[in-house]
Amino acid sequence: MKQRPKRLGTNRTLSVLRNWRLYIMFLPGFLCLFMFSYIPMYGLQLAFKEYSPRYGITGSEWNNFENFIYTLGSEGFWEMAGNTLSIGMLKIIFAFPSSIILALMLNEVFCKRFKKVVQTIANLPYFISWVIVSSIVYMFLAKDGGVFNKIIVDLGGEPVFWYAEPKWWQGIITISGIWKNVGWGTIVFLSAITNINPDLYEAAKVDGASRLHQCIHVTIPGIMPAITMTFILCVAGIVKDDFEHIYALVGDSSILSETTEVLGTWVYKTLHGGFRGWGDATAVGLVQSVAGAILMAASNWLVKRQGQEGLW
Amino acid sequence: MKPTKSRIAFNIFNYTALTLLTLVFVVPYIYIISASFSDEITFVKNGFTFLPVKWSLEAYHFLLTTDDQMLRSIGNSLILTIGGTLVTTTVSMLYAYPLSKKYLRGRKFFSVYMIFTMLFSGGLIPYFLTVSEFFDDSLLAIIIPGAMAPYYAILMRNYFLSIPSGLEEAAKIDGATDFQILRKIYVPLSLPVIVTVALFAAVSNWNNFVGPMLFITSPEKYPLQYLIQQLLDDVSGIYASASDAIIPQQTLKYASVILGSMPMILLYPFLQKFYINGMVMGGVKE
Repeated sequence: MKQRPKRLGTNRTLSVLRNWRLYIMFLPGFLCLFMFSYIPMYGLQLAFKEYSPRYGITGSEWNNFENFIYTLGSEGFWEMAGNTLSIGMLKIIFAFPSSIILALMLNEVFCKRFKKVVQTIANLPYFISWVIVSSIVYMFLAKDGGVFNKIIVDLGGEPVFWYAEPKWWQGIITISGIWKNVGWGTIVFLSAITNINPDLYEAAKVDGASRLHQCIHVTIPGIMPAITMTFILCVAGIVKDDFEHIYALVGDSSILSETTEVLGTWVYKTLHGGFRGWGDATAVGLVQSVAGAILMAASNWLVKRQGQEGLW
Repeated sequence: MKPTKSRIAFNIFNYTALTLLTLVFVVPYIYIISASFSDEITFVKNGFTFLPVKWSLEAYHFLLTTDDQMLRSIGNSLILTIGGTLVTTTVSMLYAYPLSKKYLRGRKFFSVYMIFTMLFSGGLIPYFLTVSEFFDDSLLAIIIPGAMAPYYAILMRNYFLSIPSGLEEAAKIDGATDFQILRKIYVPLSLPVIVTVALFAAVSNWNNFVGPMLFITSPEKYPLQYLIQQLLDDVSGIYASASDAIIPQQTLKYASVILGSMPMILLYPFLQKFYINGMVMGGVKE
């Protein structure tokens, strides 16, 4: 047994007092979260109010569920919710597996140098902002002089007016998202792969397993915890649209809004459209926040029921 | 064991696919660099090309000599990046340190208090209204609300937990206070994670354009990314005083994109070791 230097702190108050400096350390972060996370949560009451700039959030008048009834009853809301969900689903179906596949491919590379170079280059897009990515998207898709249209015209086709055709944009958003994040996403999986016990591979080899079988029966089960963790976060992301990404690419374009207007971009535009819509926008934000939390809890529960380790 | 035929076929496929993939990440950027060094008139005529049809430094020259807008924005971005990084790293570290003390009463409360904000938020409108009550058209509106970053605090807490508690006990016997122990023992031992967090923070501050879009109104306070966003949208709005004839309307957009992304792209290969370590450390649980 270790001998404690001083035997203070059997008493609760004494132990708190003795460690007062540690509590002081909490203070800046505590205040910051209080002011800029918890006060805005308190401000969610605006979802049940009609905002009036004269009285502020707390002084404005309650209108009960009017904001919800109004927004949930409007057609526009369901179109935006539909876009949010379908972009979110595209992300789960394509973006989520892309990092796993790239990690497995990198794992099969024997030349260390080659692996390192590919990894470094694949990670680069993660470090540039969405604004910069939007200029790259424009470079491909510009009506005149864009790379895609130049290729199409060279092949004898008609140029496509990408920025006037909404049908392409959910795909463009998905692909640009994969382009930016796929390399970065591999880090979690590659580090999980290095933690797999090498004996398992040896045993598999003795049993005559090919590389493909080793991948399916050793590597993938070995990184399953990392896969489920990413999956849980990804599922919550279905309803939490990536505002920064979509707004940088599409901006205020109304031509494309049919497929690209998501809840996040609408809330942002409402913020600038005058205070009359603020109650409605807060209500939409609340629905989104709650749905995200529920989805996260649900997928966590599902994952745990399958016998995997969840987020909590 | 000899490689089988299918194994060789797979390797060829794998190396080819990965090589093509790296090209997909690099080539677009080369097109943008090429556009930024192109002569405006030939660029408008030819569109995007792998190499400039006619080389020119006109776009960079215009950006760096007209109106000071670009230089000021670079300055603002540096203030935002350096200031934001220092504040966020310090505040998050101060929160993380007591969280790593298992004997501390109330630790659980402070942990839940922090993690709850990662799961649930007030949303954009209440956040905007709250922050704009404290700050008006100032970079502080981005730096101060971002001072406490739960994710970074968790990273640092996990690292602190891996440091043997005997060091702390010994220092306490010698009469050191908690602040001294943090500064003289924990900070030097935790440099890898602190550097990682600082880099995370620096990149996200440098790349932040939503914050300025919400809270900054006067152009002389625009950070670089926000300026670029405005330029991509409409050049004449920013350079209203310059006469249209001398503005390289298109190429200057790409020159600004290069100025805004070069620092991170040049720094990254040197910093990637820290980044990857940081991500791996995040996985370390109690």
